[in-house]
Amino acid sequence: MKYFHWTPAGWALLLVIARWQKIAEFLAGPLENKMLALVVLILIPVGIIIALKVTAIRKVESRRLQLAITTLMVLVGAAAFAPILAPYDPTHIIDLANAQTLAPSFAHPLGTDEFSRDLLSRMIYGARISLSIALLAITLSITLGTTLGMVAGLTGGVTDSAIMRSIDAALAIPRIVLLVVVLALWDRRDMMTIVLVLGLTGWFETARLARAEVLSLRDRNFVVAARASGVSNVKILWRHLLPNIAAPLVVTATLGVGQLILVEAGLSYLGLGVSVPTASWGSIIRDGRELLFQAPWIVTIPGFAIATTVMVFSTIGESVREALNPR
Amino acid sequence: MTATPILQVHNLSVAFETPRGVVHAVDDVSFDVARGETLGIVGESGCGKTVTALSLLKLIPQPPGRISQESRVLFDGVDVLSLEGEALRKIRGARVAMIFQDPVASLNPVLTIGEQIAETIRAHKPVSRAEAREQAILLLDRVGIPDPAHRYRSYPHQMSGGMLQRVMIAIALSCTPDVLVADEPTTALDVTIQAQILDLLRGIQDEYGMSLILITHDLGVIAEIADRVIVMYAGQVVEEAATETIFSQPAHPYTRGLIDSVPRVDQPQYQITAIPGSVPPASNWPSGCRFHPRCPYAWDRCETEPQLERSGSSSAVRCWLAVDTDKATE
Repeated sequence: MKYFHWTPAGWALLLVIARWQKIAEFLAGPLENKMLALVVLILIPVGIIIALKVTAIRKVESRRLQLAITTLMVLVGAAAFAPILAPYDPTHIIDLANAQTLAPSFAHPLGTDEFSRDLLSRMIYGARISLSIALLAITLSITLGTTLGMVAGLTGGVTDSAIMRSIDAALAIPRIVLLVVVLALWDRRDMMTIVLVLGLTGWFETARLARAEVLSLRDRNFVVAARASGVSNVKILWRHLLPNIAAPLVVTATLGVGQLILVEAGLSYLGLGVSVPTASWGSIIRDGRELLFQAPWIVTIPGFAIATTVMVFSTIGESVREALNPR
Repeated sequence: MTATPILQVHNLSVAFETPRGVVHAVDDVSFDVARGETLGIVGESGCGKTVTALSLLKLIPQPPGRISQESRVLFDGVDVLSLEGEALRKIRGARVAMIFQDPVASLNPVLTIGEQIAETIRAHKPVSRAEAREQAILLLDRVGIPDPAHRYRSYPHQMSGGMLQRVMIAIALSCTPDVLVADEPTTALDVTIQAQILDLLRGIQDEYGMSLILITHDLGVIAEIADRVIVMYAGQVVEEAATETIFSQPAHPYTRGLIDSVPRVDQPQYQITAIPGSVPPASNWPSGCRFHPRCPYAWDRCETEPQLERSGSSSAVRCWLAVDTDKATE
């Protein structure tokens, strides 16, 4: 209970009371939204507890980390409960005939964009897209990279050469060029397409890392001993090697999320992100770029959100690295 | 020892390809192990003992290792070296188990010791997690670890080297193997702990009736528990004999040198004589008898390579002195 604070709890309670109607609507709404919210509701305390445990055990200087985790939880919470929190429909054009960019006001806390869509709602729903894409894509690429890298490292020989040479070949093509070409070929890009494309182009470095780590462990005595006791290759990979190489992988993953948020924003800015009118932070920036001087808030607010998120993930990655460092 | 040997090694040769040329670590080694027998393999560092042990379970990484075509390791009539995949895995740990020199490095630091024992049990027997756990606790108790149920959850770094070697023995015992290969099981341990571990090994060998291959450079250990001894030098077997014979009538000058270099408590004035020089690098064995550059009895005939001459059922020696008895009496 040491980390339980009444102030945020009070705010949460106020929010529940103030948006009671929206909550009722949300509960009656589509199942997938509710599932997402439930998963996040479970993940938030689990994430906080794990982070605090790790920092407490390893005595990492944890002020920065606590701030980063709190910020992350706010972002993730906003994304998960978007239907409750957002004051308007993010794609709804309030007044088509007199579409105009409104400055921040009481009715629109962050103003509206050029199609007079509420910017706060778009930001909240955009968090959903940006964070989901980054988190799903990193999961995909870390899983793929770890599996292939470990298999390459453990089996060696022809399998190893085949996997590693393919990676070398793939790395010879600049990623952004590959992404632009592949995404330009799709006429309708939904979230899963972006996730797949980002995930499938992002695992090469992880595979190299996993392979290098496995190579350094492969001939260690405990692996030979496990093999001598008849433990199968799969079990050796899963139970003996994976826990030993988890630390650098976790660091790569957290740092990679920040990277992916940037890449996704970049793609959206180029018009190769999720198709309109779905909002992501990058596409909000793109929509606002022509009004940079008339309505600077349209560009700066998502920019600030992207910068914050990237910093949050970098901080968490650095702290994890520090916590897992044996020295 | 009349029945067929449980383990027969025929013409085992292992070479490693290195950037600086081929290294013949083990050269034409043959021996048998009878059921319930304790075979000691003795020799200095770098003479191929460990490579021999690893080859018994085909644990030599290939490449760079290369086991020659003529090599056979017949376990219960099956050539282990010809096995692959699942068939090989079923022998490892279940029928032939192995204990290594350094118990601290041989256990995975991120898994509890109990999990590592249970893992071996589950690799070979169709038992549930809970059953494997119970068996593991019984094994921990058998190898003399106090409070086994509690220790099951300990990580390797929380235990001493001696205790960890007991854990290794528990892992090796988990499927009651027919042959236990112990590669320098006491080298990394304190002297007092060494005696306890040897007692434990002898105890479980009697209890389970298994064969034990004990690899060591410590003749004291050999004298204590081996029935029969193989002396290795420079990748070859140079002498094979029953333990008493080795100590009373060593036939090979190298064996004699090894025995003379052990300090003796019964003769305080006794001068320890070291064998001059050290084992030559495996990439460049001397021609002729591989021991002759260090041998105090070397003569011109040692320039040609002697064969391992058998005399009787269980003894053999690779030395011209054993062939040319006139010279030997000189």
